[in-house]
Amino acid sequence: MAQELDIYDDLHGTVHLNPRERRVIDSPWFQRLRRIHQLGVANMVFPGAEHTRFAHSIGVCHLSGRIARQFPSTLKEHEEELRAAALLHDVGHFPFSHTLEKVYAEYARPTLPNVGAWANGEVAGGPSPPEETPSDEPPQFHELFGQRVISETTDAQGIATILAQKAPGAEAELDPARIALTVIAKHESLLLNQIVNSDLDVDQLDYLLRDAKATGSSYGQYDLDYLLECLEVVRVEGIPVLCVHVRGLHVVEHYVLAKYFYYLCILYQKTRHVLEGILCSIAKRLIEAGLLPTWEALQEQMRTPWFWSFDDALVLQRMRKAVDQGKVDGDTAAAISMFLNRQLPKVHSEAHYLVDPGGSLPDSAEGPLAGENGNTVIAEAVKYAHKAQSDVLKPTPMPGDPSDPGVLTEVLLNNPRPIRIFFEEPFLVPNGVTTVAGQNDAGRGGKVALLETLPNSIVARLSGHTTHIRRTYHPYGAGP
Amino acid sequence: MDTRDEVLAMFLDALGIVATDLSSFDGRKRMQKAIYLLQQGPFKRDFGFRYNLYIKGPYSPALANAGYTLLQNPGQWEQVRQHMTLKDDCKRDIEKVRAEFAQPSGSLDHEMLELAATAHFLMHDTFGYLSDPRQREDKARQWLETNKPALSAEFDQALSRLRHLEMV
Repeated sequence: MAQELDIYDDLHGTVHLNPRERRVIDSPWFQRLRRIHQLGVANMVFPGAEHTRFAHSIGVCHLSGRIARQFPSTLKEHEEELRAAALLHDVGHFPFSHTLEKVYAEYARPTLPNVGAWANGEVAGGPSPPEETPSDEPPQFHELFGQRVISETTDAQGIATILAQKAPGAEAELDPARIALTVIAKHESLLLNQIVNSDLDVDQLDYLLRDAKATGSSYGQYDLDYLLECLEVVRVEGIPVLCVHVRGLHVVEHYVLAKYFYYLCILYQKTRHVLEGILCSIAKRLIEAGLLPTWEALQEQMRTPWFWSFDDALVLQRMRKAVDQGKVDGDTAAAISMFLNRQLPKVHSEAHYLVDPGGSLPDSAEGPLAGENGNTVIAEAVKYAHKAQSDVLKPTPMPGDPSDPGVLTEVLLNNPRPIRIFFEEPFLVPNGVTTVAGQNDAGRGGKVALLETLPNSIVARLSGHTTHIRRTYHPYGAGP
Repeated sequence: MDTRDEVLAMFLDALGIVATDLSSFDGRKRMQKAIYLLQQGPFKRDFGFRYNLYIKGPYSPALANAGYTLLQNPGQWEQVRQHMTLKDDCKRDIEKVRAEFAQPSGSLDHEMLELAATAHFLMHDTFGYLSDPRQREDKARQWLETNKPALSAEFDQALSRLRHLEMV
């Protein structure tokens, strides 16, 4: 029978796991996370970014326990559920984290039921509705897969099996279905949902600091201990909600802005973005060549032990196999070589646009490819990047720019969801911005308000702004 | 405004919700809950808005954003009315929901909408993992009694309206 376990984590120090949590992390379903880089391809830009989803998940579990112990009267009965959900929140992640998730999301899109009201033929008059309706809320497939791993893995080492077993010293077994719901913020306790999945959740509290530390970047750092100290549980209309005391306003604002700069400087870093685009393009070719499972096959195989090997190493191995056995065309083989040997397109120009709420990009930012998924354009760029010039991909000059045959067509980093700091909504939401209690102790009848409604909040002034980044790249070997 | 916003505007028109309603919290609540119900079976008028449960029941941040877009563009809303109409079957479904929650004043009963939408969400999402519908109903009732005692007294009435709409 498993014992308790202490793990030394380089971010949080000693992390204590109870016997059930130890059995969970010992399961091959969870061990897989040791072989998935937290930041995907970022280790090819930041050499220290070798940390994994495994360490991150344990860190998130630890933080959830810290918060639970701060509020024993409200969270004591849910502590084990909370920690289990936090520990397992990323168990369904894809290799290279969100990179391959995006690839499979494209294949999954036609199967999704939510494609907009007009797809149901609501409209009698007016222009023809588009066949495909982009949703600004695509499902998080790693969460959907995670739900299935949590609730459907009933083998001897399965997560569902472990959760449902009564552990020594624990009060009761856990219901895998409830844990799975908590991961996607659908637990009956709004408080648990907030802690696991909101704008101020334990996931972000951990990864901002962990990623900053691993990359050596200053962005993403904030005062975790003081932020936790300022947390309060307040009853709003009778429902316990996680808030931050007003004395912690500055630390919350710092956290929100840290997240913004973290996205800008780490996730949207110019080379990382190119690498991600190349990898997406390669992954699609590997799927087409039968070297990675199709979306349909993956949904079946993810419930089998095969899924234990669905990690970064598998994708790299299949890349090499694709080239060695001639299973992909010359362009894809060239892209694989570019990726593995880090021979990448270089930035030619870069512009940032800070757009007002409800505003739009300036005209000069528009182009034939503006609004397209940046990854698609990069993939096209990669396809021809090994040629000095290309007849197929004609460069399109930007207004005011001289035509340069060495410059690729515009690449707009602006993905379908540009960096959005927060949105306006004068009420509390599980995935919305942190709330701040009033001057009085909110537990004794103080006021509660949304962060963005506070007149002295810098975050409130920035609410609704979006940042768009536009870059153009030289093919590898061309340009200065 | 994109096409989804335009279709949303027509839905809100059919529900009797106008642009100025969206400037009030109760008006936005009516929008949130009515669209939530229309996205569910048997109607499945699916905008793709995703909901989670919060203090005032099921809530979609994306729908809130869309609502603000409509509020900021009343003139475009008017233009939509002039060149688009909803199909008859769609209008019928919207009218079913509107009629179920309409008050004598003509506006939708935002508190009953909140209760009905919350009850539905609890029974289908939060407690959807329970295979017995009776258990789901009991759990939903208990949750409301604990968390929304002021509304829970009318739970049976909300349930009756949902049954009338064939949603439970």
